[in-house]
Amino acid sequence: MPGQSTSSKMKIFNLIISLLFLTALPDVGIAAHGGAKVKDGSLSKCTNVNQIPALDCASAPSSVFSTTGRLWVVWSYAGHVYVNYSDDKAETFSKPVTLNTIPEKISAHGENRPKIVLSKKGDIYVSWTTPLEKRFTGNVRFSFSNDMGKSFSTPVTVNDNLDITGHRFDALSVGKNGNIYLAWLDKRDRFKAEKEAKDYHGAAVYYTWSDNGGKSFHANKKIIDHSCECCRVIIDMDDNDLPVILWRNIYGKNTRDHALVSFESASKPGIPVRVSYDNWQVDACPHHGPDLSISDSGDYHMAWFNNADKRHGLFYMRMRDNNTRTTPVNFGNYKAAASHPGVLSSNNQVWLTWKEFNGKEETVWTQHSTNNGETWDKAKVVAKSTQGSDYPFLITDNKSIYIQWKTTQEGFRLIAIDKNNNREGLL
Amino acid sequence: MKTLILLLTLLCSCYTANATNKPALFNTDSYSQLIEEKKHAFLMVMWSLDCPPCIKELSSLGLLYKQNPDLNMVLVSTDSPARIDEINKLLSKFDLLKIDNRVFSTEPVQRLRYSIDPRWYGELPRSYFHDNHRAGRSAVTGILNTDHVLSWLKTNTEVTP
Repeated sequence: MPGQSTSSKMKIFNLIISLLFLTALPDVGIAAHGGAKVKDGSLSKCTNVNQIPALDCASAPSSVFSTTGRLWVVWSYAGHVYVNYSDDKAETFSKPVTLNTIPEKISAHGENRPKIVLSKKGDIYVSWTTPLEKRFTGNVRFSFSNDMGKSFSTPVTVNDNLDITGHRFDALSVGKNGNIYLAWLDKRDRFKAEKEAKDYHGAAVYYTWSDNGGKSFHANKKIIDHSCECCRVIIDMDDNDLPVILWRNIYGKNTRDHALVSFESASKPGIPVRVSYDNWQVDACPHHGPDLSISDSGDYHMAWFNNADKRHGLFYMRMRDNNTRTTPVNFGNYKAAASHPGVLSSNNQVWLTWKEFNGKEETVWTQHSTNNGETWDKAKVVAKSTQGSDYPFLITDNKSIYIQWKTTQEGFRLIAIDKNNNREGLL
Repeated sequence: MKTLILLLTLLCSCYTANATNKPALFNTDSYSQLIEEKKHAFLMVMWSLDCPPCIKELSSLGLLYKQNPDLNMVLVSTDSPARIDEINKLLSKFDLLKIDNRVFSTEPVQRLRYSIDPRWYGELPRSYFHDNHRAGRSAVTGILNTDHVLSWLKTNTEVTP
C-alpha cells in the first residue's frame, strides 16, 4: 500500500542517516567506557544523535547543590554541554539547557569532565576542555549563567595561549566573594621547548581568575613546571576565601607524587609544597588524580592513589600548613582494586569514598570520621553495579551527604550515605 | 531514491574504511584465550591514544620490531572500538599494523582490566612479559627499557625449540 511504502522508505532513510551519524561520531561526547548502554538493548537510546539528549547517556557528569537544595548537573552529549537541575534529589530533572550552540569536542571521561560551581548569590559557572585536532591538545572553555540557569553566556576560551597544544584537565572553583578560579594542565612551555629542540617533562599548572562574574579573566599565570599530564587537578577554597590547588606532580626524573599550592592573594600564588612522599617512580600515565576538601576551620583534607612498590593504594592525609600534617594512612582494600578516592569535610566531620571491584561487582565504599580525620568508623558499601561505572563523587546540600555515581545500568544516581552494610574498618 | 543510493554508497565506504586492518576486539575472555593459543614467549603491551608516554612506547616498539621481527608481540589499545581509525593511523605511522593488534571491546573497562590483572589500576603503558612454556609472567608499568626487552627476548628465544 502506498502509505506503508512511504513509511518504510522513511524508516530506511532515517536508519541510514542515524548510521551515518554513528560512523562520524568517534570523538564527540560519547565515551565508550562508562557511558553508552550496550548490554541491555538500549544502545540506540544512547547513540542516536537525533534523540533528545539524556543525562543517563552522558558518560561523565558533575553535580553540585545550591543553598536551596536544588541539584545542578552538567554533562555533555554529542558535542554539546548541557545543564539541568533536580528539586527531588535526582528523581526527576528539568529540561536541559544547551551551553554551546555550535557543537565542539568535549572531554568527558573519568579524569577530565565538565565542571559546575555556584556562587553565593546563585550564579552558575561551568568549565570544560575542548580537545583540538592534534592529539593531547585542547582549550579550556567557560560559560556562566546569571539568570538561575535559564540561559548561559557564549562559551569563551580561558587560556590566553592559543598554540595548538595542551590546555586541559581544568579545575573550577568560586569564592564567597564571587571570584572565580580556574586551574589546568598546560603545555605551552613544553610546546615552546620542543620548538627549540629542548626536553620538557610533563606539563605545567597554570591558573587564572575572574573578579567580574566570568565576564573576563586575568592573564594566565604559571604555578609550576613539570606536572603529571593526565591526572585531574582539584581546587577548593580555604578559610581566607583563596584557592588551594592540588595535583600530581613529577619530582626528579619520574617520581609522581602530589603537590599543592595555596595563595597569598588572588594574583599571588604561594610556593608549591610537596604533599605525598610515596615515591612512585613511573614513566606512565596513572590517569588517577587526587581529591581535596578544605574544612571551615581551614584544614586541608586530601585523598590520593599511588602505586609504588612499597607505598601503594589509597591514602588520606590532613594538613593545615607545612608543619602540621598528619601521617598519611591507607584506606580501601588494595586487593580489591580500591581506586578513585573522594574526600569531603564539614566542620569536624570527614567522609571518604572510593570504588572497588571483585571481578563481578563494582562497589562504592564510604568511611566517616567525626573527629577531623583522627579516627574512622567502619568502611561501608553504599552501592553496587555490574556493567561499568563512573567515579564516585561526594557532594552535600549542607543537610546530608550524598554520592554522585553514574553507572551504565542504573544511570545517574544520588546516594545518601547514612545506612547500608558495614565492613571492618581498614584505617 | 538517488539520495538513498548515494547514502548507502557513503555508508558502505565508511564501513569498508573501518574494516581495513581492523584490530580484533579484546573481550573479557581474550586474555585466557591468548594464553592458551600462545605456545611460546610473548609480550603484551597495553596502550591508549590518550596516553602521551604510550606514543613514545609505540615509536620505540616499532623500531624494536623492525630490528627483531621474531618478537612475538600483542598490542592492546584500551580505547573504544569507535576510535579504530585513529588507532590504525597511529599503528601505521609506527609500522605496527602487521602485528597482533587488539582493541578493548565495549565491555566494562574494569572487567576487561581485571581479566588480565586484578592489580592493574589502568596505568599506561602497561606491559606483560610471558615467558616461554608459560614459565612465568612479569608486569612493567611505564615505557619499556629496550635493553630489558632484548634481554628477555634473548633468554626466551634460546630455549625455544
